[in-house]
Amino acid sequence: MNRRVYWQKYGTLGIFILLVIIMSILSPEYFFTFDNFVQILLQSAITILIALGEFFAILIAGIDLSVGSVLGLTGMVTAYLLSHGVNMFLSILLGGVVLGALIGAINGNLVVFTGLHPFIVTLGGTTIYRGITLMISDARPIYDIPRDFGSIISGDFFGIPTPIIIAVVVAIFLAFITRKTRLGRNIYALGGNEEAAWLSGINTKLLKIIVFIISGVCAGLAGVVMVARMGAAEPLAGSGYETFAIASAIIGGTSFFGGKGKVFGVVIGALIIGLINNSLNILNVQTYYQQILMGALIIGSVTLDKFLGTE
Amino acid sequence: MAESFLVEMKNVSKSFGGVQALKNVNFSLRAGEVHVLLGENGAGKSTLMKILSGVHNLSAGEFFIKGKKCTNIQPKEAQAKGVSIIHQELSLINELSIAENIFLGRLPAKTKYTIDNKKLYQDTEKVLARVGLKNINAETTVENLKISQKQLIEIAKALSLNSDIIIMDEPTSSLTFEEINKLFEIINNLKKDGVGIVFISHKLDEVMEVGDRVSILKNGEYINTVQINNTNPDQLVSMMVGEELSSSYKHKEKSTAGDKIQLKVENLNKKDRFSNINFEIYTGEILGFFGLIGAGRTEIARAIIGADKKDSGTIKLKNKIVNIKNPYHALKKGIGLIPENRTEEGFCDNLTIWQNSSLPYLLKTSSLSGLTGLLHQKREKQIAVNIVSALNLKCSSLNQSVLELSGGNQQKVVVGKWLEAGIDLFIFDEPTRGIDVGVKHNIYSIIERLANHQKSIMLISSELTELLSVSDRIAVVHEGKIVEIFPISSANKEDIMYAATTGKSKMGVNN
Repeated sequence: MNRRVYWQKYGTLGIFILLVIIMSILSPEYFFTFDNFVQILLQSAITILIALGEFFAILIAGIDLSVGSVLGLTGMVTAYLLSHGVNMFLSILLGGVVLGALIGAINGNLVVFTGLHPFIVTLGGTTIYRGITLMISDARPIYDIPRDFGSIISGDFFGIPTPIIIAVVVAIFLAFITRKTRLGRNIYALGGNEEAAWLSGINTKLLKIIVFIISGVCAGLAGVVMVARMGAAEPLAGSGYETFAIASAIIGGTSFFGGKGKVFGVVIGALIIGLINNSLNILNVQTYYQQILMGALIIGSVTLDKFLGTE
Repeated sequence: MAESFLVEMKNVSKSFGGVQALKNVNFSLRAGEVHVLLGENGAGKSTLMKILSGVHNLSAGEFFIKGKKCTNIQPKEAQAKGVSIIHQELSLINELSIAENIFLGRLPAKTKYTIDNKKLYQDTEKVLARVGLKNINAETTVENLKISQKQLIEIAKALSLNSDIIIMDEPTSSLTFEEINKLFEIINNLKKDGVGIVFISHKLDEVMEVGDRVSILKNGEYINTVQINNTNPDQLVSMMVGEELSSSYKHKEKSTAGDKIQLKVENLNKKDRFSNINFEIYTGEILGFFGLIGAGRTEIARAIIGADKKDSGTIKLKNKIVNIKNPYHALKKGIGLIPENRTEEGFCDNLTIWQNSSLPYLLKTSSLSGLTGLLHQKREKQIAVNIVSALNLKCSSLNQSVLELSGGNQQKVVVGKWLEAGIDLFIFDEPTRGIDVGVKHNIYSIIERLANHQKSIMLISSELTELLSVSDRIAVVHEGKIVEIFPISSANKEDIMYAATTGKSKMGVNN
């Protein structure tokens, strides 16, 4: 009983701290520095954003496979608006937030009104949105982005890189939603038992659409940050990122069957992935091995959860 | 020994860790008899039967099957000695055929690698005939069968194993009236063949009809064994609960029904489900809904709260037409449905007791389809505390998952969560199914208390005695139509049963 509770509360955090300790011993001069920690956070910001959206989709026993494509499309549209002289904040609002919400609403409505599993809907969606990205960009990157945009969105704010601030603010806002609002409680209830939630008076159809809108907006913000960091919008940006998003949520303790998981855990899950990539770079391990390790980590953490997290 | 028993258990005790589940229990089974095992949930019936079927081994006492002493037997050995158990949740594999299910693991072989299908189907037809399933193809896939037929397949499987000790755990809980009669016919035929049957049930009228002897357990202790002929339901109930408590709940002194109409349903229709449903419920009234399983009562209730779409019809609350599109609208208008399958529809197992308890309250007091508003932990926990005291809910902490509670206590959460949500019309769908007598009475008194506070109640139940003792009027539903609505003063079992099984009104014939 105690073991289960402790694992569920501190398991992910424990793994994260353990990894930090191991790396600090292996590479004290490069790893254990303030600059490197900022670097890890910065590299993880995009993963955190898409993972947070993914977390909500998984929390209702669904999934959103389209987050990588949405990142690509929103980034492309934001860059397009910027390159055509549209005001920076308007570009971010329309290209990132509104477009992300719109795509999320499309996903959510398709899930609700076709009755198909979100896996199918967002699997289809992922190639559609990527196709649209390639179409509007003519498969070419957009480079001519105003310098201001990069220096603000990818710049510093009192010494802290803006992407980190964006990710943290979004995480705090979503943690507030899950912990303090009725909306959040309803989402957990929907994930726990859809029929019971429906009969209790929760508008489960509307709620599903809202969850996919949250996922879309998170991916849209990630798209904006991506363009700012790269200084360009690549038509294939974010390809395969759904793996990172799903992995972060799962490593962070989100139950694949819905109803269980925490925002904090997901952030730590994303940081673990960032930390491992950073560590292997420092240790000069080739990228192939990084991928193998991440796969092993996904399977390993869920296996651990199965043995330690149940009685 | 003058008499030979199929099963004899003497002073059997069983403890799990420190918990004494059975204490000095005596039980015997003769060939050709139905021995009923009676007791509230947790009385030790299943533990005793698990010892008989080799799942558990006893801690103390003696246990004989057909005169041979059994110590540390395994389920396989018990089966070889003729013991079969038919569980409440049937254990057939839906995707396989009837024949494959019956002979699973021992299919007749033609060669080393192939099955002798001809023999398989012949043997299957032989055992199916013994349970009265003559016109059914042995190759039929089990998923296409009705629950009652699946149950008979389980019995056929037991017979094919040459079992002469058959344990039936609440076999009638999901059968219709006719199907129950058919099952009893088959039980009688088995008795003639010398099969001994242990029959576990909560329904006393059935117990009186089918049983020969009855043994009562309470809190793991053996109370008594009596001949069915020498007892009556009131006596059985008092032995079960240990105090004088009538099996038929005493109807409230007088009806509290007012003269104001709370709900009026007009011409409600849904294709293939129900048609032309018309009724009204007054404030303070308890309107019972009786019918066979599948008659359409649940569908009517779900259509009223907007959980399922209706094709046509109007719903009026206090004489005003309301348009209820989903359960949220219903809740806002003061209607709540307590669903029939509590684990599947009643609660969220990832939420705690207090979080489940406050769900309707939080939604009722929010707006925009329940999207707005913050949580209010103090108020929510207070709601849970109120439910615990109002319904005598037993839990170790409000932070427990509802899943950890016993069935009766789970039901208290499912019922209780509506009590503090400002509901005027409660729809109870089979609120007492599968729960023991004590909790049943608890729920009846809650229903009555609500009516006393001028709340209206639609009570769907398949237990007629329950409806007769609690309702002010009883609507009888047959194949999606309301046959007749009986005022309680002129309601009797025979007329209601006639209407529910034939769809015709006796009164109508007389008038």
